[in-house]
Amino acid sequence: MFLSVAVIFVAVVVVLFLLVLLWGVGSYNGLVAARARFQNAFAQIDVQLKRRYDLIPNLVETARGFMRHERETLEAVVAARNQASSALEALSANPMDPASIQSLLKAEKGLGGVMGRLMAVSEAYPELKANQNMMQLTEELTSTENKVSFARQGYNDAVTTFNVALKTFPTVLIASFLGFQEAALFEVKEAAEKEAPKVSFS
Amino acid sequence: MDFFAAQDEARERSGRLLWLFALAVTSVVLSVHVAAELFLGWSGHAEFEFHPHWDLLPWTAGVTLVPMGIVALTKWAALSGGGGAVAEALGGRRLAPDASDFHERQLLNVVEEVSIAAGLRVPEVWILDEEPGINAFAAGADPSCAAIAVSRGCLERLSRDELQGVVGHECSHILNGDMRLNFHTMAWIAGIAALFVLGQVLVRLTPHFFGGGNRSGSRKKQEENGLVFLLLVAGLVLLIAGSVGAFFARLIQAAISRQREFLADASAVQFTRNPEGICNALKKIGGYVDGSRLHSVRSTEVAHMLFCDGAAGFFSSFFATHPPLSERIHRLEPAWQGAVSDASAQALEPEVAEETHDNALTGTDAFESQRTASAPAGSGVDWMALARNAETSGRVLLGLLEAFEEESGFDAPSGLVLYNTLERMTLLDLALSAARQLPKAQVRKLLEDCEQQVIADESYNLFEMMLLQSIRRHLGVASGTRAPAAVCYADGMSLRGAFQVVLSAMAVLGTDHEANRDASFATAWGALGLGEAPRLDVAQIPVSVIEGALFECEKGTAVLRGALLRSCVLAVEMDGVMTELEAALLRAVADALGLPAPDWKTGSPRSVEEVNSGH
Repeated sequence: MFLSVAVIFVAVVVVLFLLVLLWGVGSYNGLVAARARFQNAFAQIDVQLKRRYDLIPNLVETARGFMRHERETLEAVVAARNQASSALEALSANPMDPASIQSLLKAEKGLGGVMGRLMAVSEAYPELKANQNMMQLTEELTSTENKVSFARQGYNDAVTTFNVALKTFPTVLIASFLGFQEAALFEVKEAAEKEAPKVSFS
Repeated sequence: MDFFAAQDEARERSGRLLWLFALAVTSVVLSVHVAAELFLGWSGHAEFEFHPHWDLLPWTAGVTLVPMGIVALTKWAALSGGGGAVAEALGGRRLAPDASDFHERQLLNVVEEVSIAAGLRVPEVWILDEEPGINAFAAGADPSCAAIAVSRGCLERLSRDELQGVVGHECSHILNGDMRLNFHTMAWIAGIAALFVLGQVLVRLTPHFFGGGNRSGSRKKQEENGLVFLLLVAGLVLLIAGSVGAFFARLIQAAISRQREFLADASAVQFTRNPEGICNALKKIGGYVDGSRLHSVRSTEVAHMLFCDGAAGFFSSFFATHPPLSERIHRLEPAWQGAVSDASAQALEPEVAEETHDNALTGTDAFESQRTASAPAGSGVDWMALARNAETSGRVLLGLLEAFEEESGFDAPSGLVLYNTLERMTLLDLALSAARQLPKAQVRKLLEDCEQQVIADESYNLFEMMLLQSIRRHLGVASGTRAPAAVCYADGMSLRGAFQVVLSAMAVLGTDHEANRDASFATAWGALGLGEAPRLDVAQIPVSVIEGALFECEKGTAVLRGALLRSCVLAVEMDGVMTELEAALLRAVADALGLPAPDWKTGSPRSVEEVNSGH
C-alpha cells in the first residue's frame, strides 16, 4: 500500500518534470526559430542597403554628365552615401546593436534627404531624365528602396513577434535564463519627434 | 481599410464554404445510395418494402467516388505540374531574372519587392506577350513551384504602383495557398462532372449493346431486359446526381473563389501598404476597352487564378469567379462612388499611363510630354475624354489654369492650344463635374494644387482669379471645405461697393481701348440703378480685394446676381467686340456667381458664333 503510494508520487513527479522539460525545450526552440526569422529578415535589409550604396555612385556619375551646375548637391549625395555605408559596416561588425542601428538610421535619413533633393533637381534636366542609363538606375534605386522598406516591415514584424513571445507568461520566466534578450526594432527613436506639440493659450 | 480584419473575415468565410463543398460531395454519394436502395426495394418485391441496406453503401460510394477520384487525380496531376507549365500552356514566355528591357526589368523588380514584403521565395515570372488586356495570374500548387504571369497590357498600361498592387494580389494567392485550394475544388468538380458523363454514356449505349437481337419471349431476353432496365436507371441516377452535384459544386467554387479574391486584394494592400496602387489598377481595367479579357482559348481553365475575370459577359454573377470590379474597389476605398474610368480616356493611355496617375494632380510633367502633340483630335490626346474622367480631370484643370496664365492666353504652351477659349470653358465644366467624383481628400489636394499653380507664377491676373474662383466654388463644396454660399443680401445698396469693384474689373477686361473703358463702366453701372459711381482703377486694387468682392456678390439674392451678370455683359460688349476670351470671362463670372451662363442671343446683339467667325 505504502509502496504503491510512493510509486504513484514518484511517477507523478517524474511526469511533471518531463512535462516541464518538454515545455522548456519547446519554448526554447520556438524562441530560437523566432530569432532566426528576424535575423534572416535583418540580413535582407543588410543586402538591400549594400546594393543601394553600390547604385548611388553610378547614379551620381551618370548625373554628373548632365548636371554641371549641381556640383554641391552631387557632392552632398556622395558624402551622405559614404557616411551611411560606414554606419552599415559598423553595424555589420556588431549586429543588432541598438546604438549602431540608431546611427545607421540617422545616416539613412540624411541620405534619403539629399537623394530626394537630387531627384527634385534632376526634374529640371529633361535629357537626364530621358537618358536610358539614368532611367535604369532610377528604377533599380526605386526598387531597392522599396525592398529596404518592405524588408524593414518584415524585420519589425518578426522582431515584434519575438519580443511578444519573449515577454508572454510563462515563457518570460525562463527567457533570460536561456539567454534571450529583447531585440531592437529597426526604426528611428527620436525623443523630439515623439513629443507632443506644446499648445500655448496666450 | 482594416486589412487584418478583412483577411480574417475572408479566411473564415472560405473555410465555411469548403465545408459546404465537402457536403456537396457527400450528398452526391448519399443520393446515389438512396436511389439504389429505392430501386432495389421496388424491383425485388411485388409490393414496396423498405429495408435499409447499409451494406450497400460501400458499393454505391465506390461507384460514385471511384470515377470521381480517378478523374480528380488526373486533373490534379495535370494542374500541379508547377506554375510554369500552366503559364506556358497559355502562351507565356518566361523572363530571365536578368532581363534588360526596361518594363521587364521593372516587373522583375516589383515581383522581388513584393516577395520580400510577403516573405515568399521569388516566384518565376512569365509574360503573356499576346494579351493586350490587363490581367495576371498565379499558378503552382505550392509556393516553391509557383509562377506569376502578367499580360503585356499590364506592363504597358499600369504604372509602377499599380503593377505592384497586381503582383501583391497574385503573391497573396501564392501565400494563402489559394492555388492549392482551387486545385482541390477544381479536381473534385471534374470528378463530380465525370459522374454526369458516366451516366450519359450508360443511358446512350445500353440500348445499343442489348437492342441488337429480335429473339422475343425467350427467358434470356427477359433477363436481358431486366439488366438493360437496371443499367438505364443507374445511368439516369448518375446523370442527375452528377449534373446537380456539378451545378452546386461550381456555385460553391465560384463563391469560394470570390472570397479569396477579396482576401488577395486585402493582402495586396498589406504587402505594399498602398491601397491606391491596386485600386487604380482595378479602375483602369474597368475603364479600358480590352479590360481584363484574355484571348487564349485555354484561359477559362485558369479563370479562378486570374487577377480579374478573363472572359467577358459569359459568367452570370453566381458563377463568376471574381467579385464585380466595383465591389472590389469599394472594399478597398469605401469613399469611392464614381463609375470606373472612362473608356475612351483609357484607350490613349499607353503613352501617358504613368503620367496620368502619378502626375494627375501635379500636372506639369504630363504637359511637358504633351506639348509637341497637341491636336484636339487625331493626335492621341483627347482633352475632352481626359476631362470626363475623374482621375485625369485634375490634370485638365491645372492645364487650363496654365493655358490662361497670360491674359492673351492663347499661345499657352500646352496641349490645349488648339481648343478655343469657349471649348476650354466646356473642358472646365467637364473637368469640374468629373473632379467632384474624387474622394474628398483628393479634391482638397487638387484644390490646393490649383491655388499653388495660380500663385506660383508672378502674373496672377484677373482672368486666372475668375477661373480659380469658379474652381473653388465647385470643388470647395465638393470637398466639404466650403459650405454653399448662403443668401445674405436682398438689397442692392448693401452690395454696392462689391458691384463697383467687379464692374470696374469687367470694364477693363472687356474693353481693349483705354478711352472706352469709362463709357463701358458707365453703361453697365447705369443698368443697375444704384446711383452715381466712378469707375475704380483696377490696377490699384489688389486682386484679393476683387476676389473678396466677387465672393460677397455671391451672397446676394439670385435677382441681384442676375442684374450684376447682365451689367457685366453690357460692360464687356459695350465696345462692340466680344472676343472669345471675353465670352469665356462672362461664363466664368456667371459660374463664380452661381448662375447659369448668360443667354448670348438676348444679352448681346451678336451671338458668340458670329463673334467667333468674325474673329
